[in-house]
Amino acid sequence: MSEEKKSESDPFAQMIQFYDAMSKSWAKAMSDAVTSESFAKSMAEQMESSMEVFSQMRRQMGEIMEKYLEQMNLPTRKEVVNVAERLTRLEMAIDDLDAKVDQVLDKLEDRD
Amino acid sequence: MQAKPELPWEDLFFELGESTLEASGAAQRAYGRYARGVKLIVDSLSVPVGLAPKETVWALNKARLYHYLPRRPVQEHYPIPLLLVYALINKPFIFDLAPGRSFVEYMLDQGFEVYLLDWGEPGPEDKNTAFEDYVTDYLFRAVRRMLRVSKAREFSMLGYCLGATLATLYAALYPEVLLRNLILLTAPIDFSEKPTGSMAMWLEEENLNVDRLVDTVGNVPGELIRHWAKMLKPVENFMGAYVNLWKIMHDESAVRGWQAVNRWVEDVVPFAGEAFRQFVKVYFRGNKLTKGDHMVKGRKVDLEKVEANLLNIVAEYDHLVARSQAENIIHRVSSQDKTLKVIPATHVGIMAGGRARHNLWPEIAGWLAPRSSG
Repeated sequence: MSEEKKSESDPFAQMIQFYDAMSKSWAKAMSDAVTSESFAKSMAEQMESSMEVFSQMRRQMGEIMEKYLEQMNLPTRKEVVNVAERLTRLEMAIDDLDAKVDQVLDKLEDRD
Repeated sequence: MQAKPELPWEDLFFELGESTLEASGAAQRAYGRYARGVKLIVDSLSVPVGLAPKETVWALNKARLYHYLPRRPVQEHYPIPLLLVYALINKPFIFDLAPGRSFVEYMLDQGFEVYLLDWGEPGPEDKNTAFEDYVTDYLFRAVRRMLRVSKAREFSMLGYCLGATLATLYAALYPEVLLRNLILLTAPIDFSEKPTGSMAMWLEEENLNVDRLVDTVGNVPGELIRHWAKMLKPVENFMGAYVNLWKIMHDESAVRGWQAVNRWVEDVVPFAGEAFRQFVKVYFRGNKLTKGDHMVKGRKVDLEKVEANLLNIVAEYDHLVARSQAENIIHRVSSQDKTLKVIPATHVGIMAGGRARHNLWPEIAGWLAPRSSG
């Protein structure tokens, strides 16, 4: 079977040929469309409305979970996050102490 | 193929049968190829990456500093270590995609001592980490550790994308630390011009309520940023990438490269909320990195204090970082030795593309080598 016949009967090869022929003009048109002022505005509006719904849901869920965890005598997400933040600050303090010890050791070595 | 029958009506049957068989054979082949393509895409998400042997020499929170094991005798090494700093979105294994496609390996082979700072994946407890904290809390300490481990007094730093912004911020904040060479790769730094046709428009105040976004989601999901980046070139990213895979499926090596890059594209990390807010408001909208009046923890961010040798590399077809945003820094630093290089590549392709080994990597190694002697 010839290559031409092969590609005629291969639906994907035909799609690829079509893509190759059209992609440059499509790509330009689509890139222009998505970077237009009107697209940016409509994307902003969509995001704003979904954020409004999402933030309300999240706040309500957060309040319910917080009350539940409090009653169960379990730490809330906020409390766990606070502990993790403090751990990172402690790590930084230890890192700085480590560096100072290195400096002192270097000076002692130099003196010897 | 069977012999042709002699009777005319049998001829017709024979031809019909033959064309049906051909069509069904082609459909089967096409389906088989399609199924293999889908499998390759799915497999790409777990393909091994970042395989160059390394040791962790420093850790803080989720950040890690890796030291790559040398591939040449230590006495053949340049004495100035090289630190690689990648962006806060996606993962830094773009520097070490796969054996044979690894910038890290290439630089090790050239005799450089290579370190990589991996920021890690921010969790809810990191949502208050500001953009500048990545420099003052993490990069500063990582450099200190690297100098200790390498026993060097000076170092070179290569920042890529937002990693270049952070590297520049570091160089401007800590002129007393001996940064000998600074390499910036597709660095978004100067936002005084906001050309149309880039992500810039989507980040403008009237188009993005960044406070609402960060206050709602905490850390900005990596998937959202990836979607924004892909949306800028929808045809190429949502179709072209897969068309390319279809075309290279016969070439195992090319497929492995495609899979590693695809994994990198899909393997996103969240952007710490406060860092995103600050980057958009202070650095992007306020263009504070270039103004010389921005203060960070009592220190002035002044690009004129940057005296390191500078190699600024711009990708000619970069659709994420506009050329003006990347190249103007060359006029603002005090470095005596500064070079601007434009490479005909895309934002990602410049490091991860098949031609990177022949254009970008030798360019960096060739520039760095004479500036890395003791």
